[in-house]
Amino acid sequence: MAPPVPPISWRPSQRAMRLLTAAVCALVPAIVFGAWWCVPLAAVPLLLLTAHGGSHPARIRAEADVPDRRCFEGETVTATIRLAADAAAGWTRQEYLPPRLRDFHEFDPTATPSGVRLESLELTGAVITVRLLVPRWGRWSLGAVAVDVYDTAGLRVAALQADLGEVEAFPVPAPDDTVLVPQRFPDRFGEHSARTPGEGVEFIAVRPYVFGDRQRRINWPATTRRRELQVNTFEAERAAEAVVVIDALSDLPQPPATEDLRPRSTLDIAVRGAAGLAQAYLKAHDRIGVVTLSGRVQWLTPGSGNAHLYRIAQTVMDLRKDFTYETGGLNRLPTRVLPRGALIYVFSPLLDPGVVEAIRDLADRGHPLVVIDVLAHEPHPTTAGKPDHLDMLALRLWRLDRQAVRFVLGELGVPVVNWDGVAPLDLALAPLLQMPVAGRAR
Amino acid sequence: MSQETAGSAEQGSALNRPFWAGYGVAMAVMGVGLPFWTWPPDFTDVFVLLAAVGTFMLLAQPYLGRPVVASMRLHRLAVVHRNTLLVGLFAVLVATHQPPVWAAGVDAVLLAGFLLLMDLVSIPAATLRRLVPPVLVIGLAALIAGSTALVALPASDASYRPILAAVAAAAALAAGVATAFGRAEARRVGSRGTDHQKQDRSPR
Repeated sequence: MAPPVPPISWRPSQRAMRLLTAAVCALVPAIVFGAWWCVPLAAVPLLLLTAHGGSHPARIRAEADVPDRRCFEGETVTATIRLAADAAAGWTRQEYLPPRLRDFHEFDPTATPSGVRLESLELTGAVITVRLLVPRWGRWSLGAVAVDVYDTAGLRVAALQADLGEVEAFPVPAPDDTVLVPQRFPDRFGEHSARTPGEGVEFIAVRPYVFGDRQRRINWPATTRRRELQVNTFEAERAAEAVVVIDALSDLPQPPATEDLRPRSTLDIAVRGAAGLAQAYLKAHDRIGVVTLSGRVQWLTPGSGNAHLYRIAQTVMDLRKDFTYETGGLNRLPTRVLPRGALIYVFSPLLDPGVVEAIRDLADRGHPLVVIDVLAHEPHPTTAGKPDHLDMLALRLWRLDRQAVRFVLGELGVPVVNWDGVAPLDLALAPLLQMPVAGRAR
Repeated sequence: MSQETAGSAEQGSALNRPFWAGYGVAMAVMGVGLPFWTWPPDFTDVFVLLAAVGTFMLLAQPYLGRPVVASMRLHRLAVVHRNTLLVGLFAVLVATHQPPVWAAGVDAVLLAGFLLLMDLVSIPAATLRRLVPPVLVIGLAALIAGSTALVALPASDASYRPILAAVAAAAALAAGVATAFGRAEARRVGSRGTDHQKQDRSPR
């Protein structure tokens, strides 16, 4: 049983205030000061005020319904608001109220600070339909719709507000078919050829027959040449395990791409790339997990299956809630998050010193590591004028700092690739396909 | 619940800014009594005229948003209630000096016109037809004419007094009949007004 709707308060509308002000301002001089010429001025607003006795409902209810609270970025969410009243009303005026958020439009001054954008607001019968575009991934407040209900004479108005709640927009995975494999695989059956003898289909060598070998594996030409039984040996087929580490400690806006109009930042690029990698690994029946480094460390242990992609997306959602962020120290990553020998991808703009320390920690544990640098553009002076020598000096220092970070990672034996989020991720990872990624010996 | 909305008039009013500014200028000119000034005018009169023109040009722009203010600062309140301010200022400005009879009629017509135009841009068309039917407009015109004739009566020439009294009586009769017809339509069982109200009832 629905809870009873409390009676709403009615207040004078702007029309009533206009008419009343005109009547009072004309009548007072006419009566008090004998300004008889003001009487015609007061006649019209008084007649308009008294011509209609307006009626209005005592109770009005506005129920918001958002059927799909999950979508992919770039999709449109439709919300409906049903108005119900116990008597007739005059007319309604509705307005979309976006959630109040901090500004985030360095590259696009016209963009709204909210993560959602109003596409249309229509009233059909007693149903208001709101269409909102969710241009980027994250967990967003949808805002509210304010409805002003006027009485039948337009002299009183009551305000209602229908809160639309939240929506979760999943990132669209970046196109990727490349799956890097580590040098040593865990003991799980899969689709990758490991460099150990096993029951796969990739031929390695022939060896002398020992008791218990299958007869069908006897290599008869080699047996004829060597005059003793020889059998074929094959590579084992193993599943890879990977963990994607997303650095959310710094999030820099990036200029929008020409062919892709979605909003872009280093975190957007990192999350889309991580989703693409996860999709590629899950397609190959491998196991993949995710670790997010923000104010607090969150993780999802490696798993497989289609549902795991949505679990990963759900984990990533907590990184962006209405552009809010958490600050805090980056602690050491828990050991159980990272299975032994798992290949680790780190998506990071390499701007926070804490991330470099985390990469060093991971390399020391012997994990094969790949760092994907998602910072594609150098910073530029915020002033609109021509850069002066101090700007150039700052830029040079910044470049030197970046080179130093890359040098440290190179010394650790960690490959670093650049990816701008526009080109396919396969192209960035292609140089690493020549051989399995090896970790440091422990 | 009604199916009407008042959103479509906002684009139209933005395009008609010169019209509203012109209307504000006309109200300022009549409010300060420029047509019956004695020439050359005082510096104070010119200053008041210029101030009124500038202010009325801004205040006459219709505010069609929701009457909501982010803070109770005076300038924000003035922006939201600028049309209310305009009609009040106009009435006060007219009250400060005695105009000729014809000017009092024009003042009343200007104020009535502004109020009706504001209703036109802020109320949906179907509701407006119900709120301000042609009968009511006739009543308004009669009321203005009648009241102007009445207020002109004491100062008029003796030969015009019967005519003015007749005009006032006819106008009062017309206004009364028009108002009575307008209210009767809403009261009558089975009339369009009550049918419309019944149809508006939404499921509880």
